[in-house]
Amino acid sequence: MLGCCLGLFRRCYDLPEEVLVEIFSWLPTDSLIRFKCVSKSWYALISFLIKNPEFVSKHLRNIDNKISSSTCLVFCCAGYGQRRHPELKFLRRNMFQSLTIFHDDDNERDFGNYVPQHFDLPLLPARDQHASNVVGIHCDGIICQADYHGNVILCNPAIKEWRTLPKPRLDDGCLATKGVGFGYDPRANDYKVVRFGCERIPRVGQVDYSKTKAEVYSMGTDSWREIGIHLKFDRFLVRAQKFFSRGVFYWSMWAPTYMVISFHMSDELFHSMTLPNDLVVTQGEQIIPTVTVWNESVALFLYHAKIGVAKSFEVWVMDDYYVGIKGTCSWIRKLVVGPLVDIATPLAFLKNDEFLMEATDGSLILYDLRRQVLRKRIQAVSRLRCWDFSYVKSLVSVQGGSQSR
Amino acid sequence: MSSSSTTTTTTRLLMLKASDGVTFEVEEAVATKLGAINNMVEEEGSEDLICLPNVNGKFLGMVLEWCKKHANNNTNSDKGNDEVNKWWDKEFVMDLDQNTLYHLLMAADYLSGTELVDLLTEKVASMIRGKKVEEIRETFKIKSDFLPGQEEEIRKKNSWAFE
Repeated sequence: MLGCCLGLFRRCYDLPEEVLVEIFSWLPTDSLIRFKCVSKSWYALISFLIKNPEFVSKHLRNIDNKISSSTCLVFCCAGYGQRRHPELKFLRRNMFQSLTIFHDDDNERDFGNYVPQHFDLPLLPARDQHASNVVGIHCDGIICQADYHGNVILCNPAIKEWRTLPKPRLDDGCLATKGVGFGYDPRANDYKVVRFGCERIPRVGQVDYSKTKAEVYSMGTDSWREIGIHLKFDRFLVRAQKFFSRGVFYWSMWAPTYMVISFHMSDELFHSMTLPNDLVVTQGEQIIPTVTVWNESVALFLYHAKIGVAKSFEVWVMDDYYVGIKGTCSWIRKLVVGPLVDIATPLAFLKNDEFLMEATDGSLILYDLRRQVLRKRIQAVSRLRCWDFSYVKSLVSVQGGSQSR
Repeated sequence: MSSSSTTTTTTRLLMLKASDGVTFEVEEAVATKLGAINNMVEEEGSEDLICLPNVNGKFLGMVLEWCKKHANNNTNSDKGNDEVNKWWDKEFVMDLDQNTLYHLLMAADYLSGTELVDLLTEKVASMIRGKKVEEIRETFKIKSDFLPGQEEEIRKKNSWAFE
């Protein structure tokens, strides 16, 4: 392969700059930064491009394109509080892991086309003792780590940039945080963090949690501001999945019935959504719902909780485009995967119609949706996993100011 | 991606003449997928013969072959078109040798075939991604013109990209 590349473009020093820019827009972030060293003119061009909002957004579109041939997943693997203990150095070093899965059409190569790596991320101040109390969310190459006390770090590991957000307006003492989200607002061309929860109002002999509050951080202005929220939550809700897709952030939670809450990044409105056929599921029941993204649509898995039996996964897809806005939504049953044995949980849809699941032994399993067959087993990631999300290496800066997309 | 849509149902034929004199008879709807030709047609209107002195017949033929495929696929029902185009594009670039790839890219750029430039530059990127700096210099026949120490400094500043 290398041999065939050498000597390519024997006469290419006369490649016009606009063509070179096009080529650069398809290169992975680390290759592009490395190629600054090629020559003075490449250094000048690349240095200019990676600060140029138009190029950064073109690059993001290209690398995020569906024909891209790999998916990178980031996992938080160890308990967050464990890094305090020196004897658990090993766990600290391996707290974040990434797994890159290469999708190729020649399905015969069943092993070896995934790469597990240690993933370097800045850490939040250790206050919480458990990783499940730290949120990890991803949008456009920016990873948002947040805890439920108002500490938030935004970072882009691909360009080694990070920033700690200012203290929120609603402070920890008066807000019991129920959810944190992060995403892109296309209308304002801005990245936003949103948090909401129940206000703690001390009453005689008890605390009143009946009032909900929310606030939004804008990267453009580097400040928090309070916004309206009309939802009511049970005090003891249990958080489940969360993700951002097409301008809307979604949380699912048990409160104590399963509910999906959406937040529209531009309109800054919250909505709560119904399940297919107005299904009501309570935690601990036989049916488990899980929400995720499939080709940028919101998808829902429904499956049996029972372990040790062959399971089928019903996949429902939300019908409307920006469902989050309306509050009501319709679901279409797209397909049923399985029945499959030894599968514990569905995790995520990857590119190329592949579907990632967790097996009962903790390993990951890749499933080919088109041919309805199991493709391979991945033993690379520790089962101490607390959260995961798919990630792209972008050039998007977290330093605020004029953002790009 | 939006392409210049033509609403005319009558198929007008254009003659395209390459640098080596080779001519191609192409439907207007196909040729106007190329921005440069689209502009010429709009500006010159009635002119049916278009001379393209910067592209030779071999590469013009290949560019037009690509345009034809995409124009045909797009007239079919919308569903599944993306898939067909993607599959066909993959075949199109798969076995291109370096020399052809270079000339095709120059031709596509000259003719403002934006989508084709996308396809070809992505192909080039796939061939050079992950490569070492020295390999890139070799590939593109570029000599390092940094002063002593300058390159070291850039490497140090961006050390993670060299791991």
